[in-house]
Amino acid sequence: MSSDFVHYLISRFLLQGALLAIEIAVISMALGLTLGLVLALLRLSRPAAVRGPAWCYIWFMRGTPLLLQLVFLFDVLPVVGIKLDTFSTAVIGFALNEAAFSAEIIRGGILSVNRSQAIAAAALGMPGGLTMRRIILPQAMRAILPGISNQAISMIKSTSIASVIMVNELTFRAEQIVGQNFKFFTVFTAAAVIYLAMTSCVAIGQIAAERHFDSLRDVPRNNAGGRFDIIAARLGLRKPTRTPVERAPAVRPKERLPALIGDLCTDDAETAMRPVVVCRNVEKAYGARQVLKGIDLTVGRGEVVVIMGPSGSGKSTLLRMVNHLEPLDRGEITVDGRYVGYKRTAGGELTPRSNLAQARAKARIGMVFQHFNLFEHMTALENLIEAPIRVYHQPPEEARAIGLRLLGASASRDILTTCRIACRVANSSGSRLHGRWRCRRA
Amino acid sequence: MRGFIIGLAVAILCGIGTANPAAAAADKCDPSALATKYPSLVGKTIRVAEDPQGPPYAFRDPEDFDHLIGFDTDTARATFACIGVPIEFKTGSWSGLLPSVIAGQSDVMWSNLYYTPERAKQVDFVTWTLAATRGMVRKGNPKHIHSLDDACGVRAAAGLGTVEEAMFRGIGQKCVAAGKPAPQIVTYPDRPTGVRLLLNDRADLMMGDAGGNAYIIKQYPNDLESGFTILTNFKVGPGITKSLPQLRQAIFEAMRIIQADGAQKAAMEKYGIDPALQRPVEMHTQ
Repeated sequence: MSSDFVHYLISRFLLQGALLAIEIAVISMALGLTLGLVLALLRLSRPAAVRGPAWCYIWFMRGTPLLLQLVFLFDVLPVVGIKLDTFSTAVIGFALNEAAFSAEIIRGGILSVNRSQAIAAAALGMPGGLTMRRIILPQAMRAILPGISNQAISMIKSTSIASVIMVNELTFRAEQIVGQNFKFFTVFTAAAVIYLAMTSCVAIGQIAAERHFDSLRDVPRNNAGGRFDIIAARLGLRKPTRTPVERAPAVRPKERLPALIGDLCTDDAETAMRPVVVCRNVEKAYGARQVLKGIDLTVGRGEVVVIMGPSGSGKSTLLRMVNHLEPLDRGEITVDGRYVGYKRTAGGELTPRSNLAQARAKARIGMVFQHFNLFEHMTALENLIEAPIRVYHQPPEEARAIGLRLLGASASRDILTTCRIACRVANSSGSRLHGRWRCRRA
Repeated sequence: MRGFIIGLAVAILCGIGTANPAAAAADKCDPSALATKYPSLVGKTIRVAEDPQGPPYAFRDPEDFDHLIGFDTDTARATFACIGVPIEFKTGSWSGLLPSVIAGQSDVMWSNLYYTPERAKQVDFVTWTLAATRGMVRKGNPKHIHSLDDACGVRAAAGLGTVEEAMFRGIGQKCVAAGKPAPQIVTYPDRPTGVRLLLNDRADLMMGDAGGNAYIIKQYPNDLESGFTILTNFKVGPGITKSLPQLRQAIFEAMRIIQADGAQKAAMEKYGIDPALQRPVEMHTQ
């Protein structure tokens, strides 16, 4: 009996079915995830004309049985002249169906990332695509990965549905053997073991991916690693080692930050007295509530201005309007003589420009938020150099050097270059990165 | 006068010689004549759809799982060898086979398909056997079921949506009219599941295709036996796409040859199908 079981377990007939199931699952997941990401982003867009079709697609593809979708692709499309072979039909059918489910999982993951991360990125002048790719999606992966792994495992097993469109994968092959020798227990158990082997690979992949994206874990500085790393090393799958701690050029130990910044900024004597931020007759209302009315403000170069007021009086609103994080209702704001993301029309009105990210980048306004809004999945050094490299296209080496000098003013430089922000925040007492430091990094 | 008689004799002989051209042509396979007889089939590979879960009609060879055997498989190979056209078997589950022929994804369905006028609206048929149903019971026939009428009050298993399930429902009404309880109907999605129902004493009677159940009884000689057999009116044969009329004609003629030279009967005996179920080859286009 057990030799029978092993005979089926290693039989070429069943293993070829397993290979077919994997081929279909891998290609369909790849296509489905790509389309799912697109659909998720469409669903998160503002214009209803973009959100609507995406929602309709998801509603329809999630709501109808996969079996009927496959039969439709295989047996109904030929009527209009599209005749697909069995493998293509299976791949396309599974991919289209998977896209709908993945879209919702990805959308959920994106929504789970704190909105402040997107605002911080916008303040740095990062365009939407860059923000999504570098800031939002890496942090959303923690929430997305378990759901997507579920989908991948389900897909490997549900390739058996495709037997109705002549796909001879593992389950159908097992049924055929049973159909002629009736040894259902032996044969089905062998098939189940093969499925378990395949789905376990996905489960292991999930563990590895989660370790990579989990920003709450401290990246071990000396790479001693746990058992998983040892096994991975033995299998030749070692993760790439993190870059070693950099030694910055010799810096005076107690260099003061304002002096350092003064060093790094160009000083132009001619514009020394020019007003930098000028607000004239600024008005802003949220719905029926008038928050700001008739605000005038001039800030000169080198001036430090403090705006005080009770809670809800519009202080943060005014600051965000300088950077065009909030739109202006009436009046005008100029920074260094230029509008940030507005242009004046013929009638004298200020209208917003299309590419706000670019405008903010050009204005080069730095913002420290109420809750600092550091990028949680990056180290302190990476937080510093992200915008210079990605938005202002500074050469990476130069940006790193400046970043290290700025960090050099603090004693715990090596921690700040290797540990991600979130892991430092997670430590309650004894955390090196308490309020003052976070303020400096921002 | 002698010339007249000789001339008449020659004329008569020529007449006899040319009287049955069809009979003469049906005697032998001639694959090399494909180009002249069925030019539209030259260069084509015919796709034959089968469900290999149904012994003895189509199933996997236990010696080599990649090889298909069975009554339908072997006679299909013989038929197309006779015509001279290569074939390719497309295997899938039964419910998807006929739709694939209708959609043009396959050309022929050769998998124990019964002819019905409804189905003939979508595909053409060439039939050559009669369908029979066999009632299978546990060894010793503990519930004494010797005909369908004995099925009142027993647990009766049939395939979902099959002719046999319809028969049980018909019997149910007769039983109730006679004051006896109707059979408890249990449906199964595939035959191995039905067999397990019978073996595990969850059903008393399993009705299905006669040849198929004969095969199952051979696998379980100590556990199962045949209770009774019923001949139906259903004719059985391949379903052929309507988009290739010459294909239908070619299959018809080839099957006639195979029947005439005894190959069909030999195949039926080999796979345990009652040879008495053989019927003349007929073409149905509606």
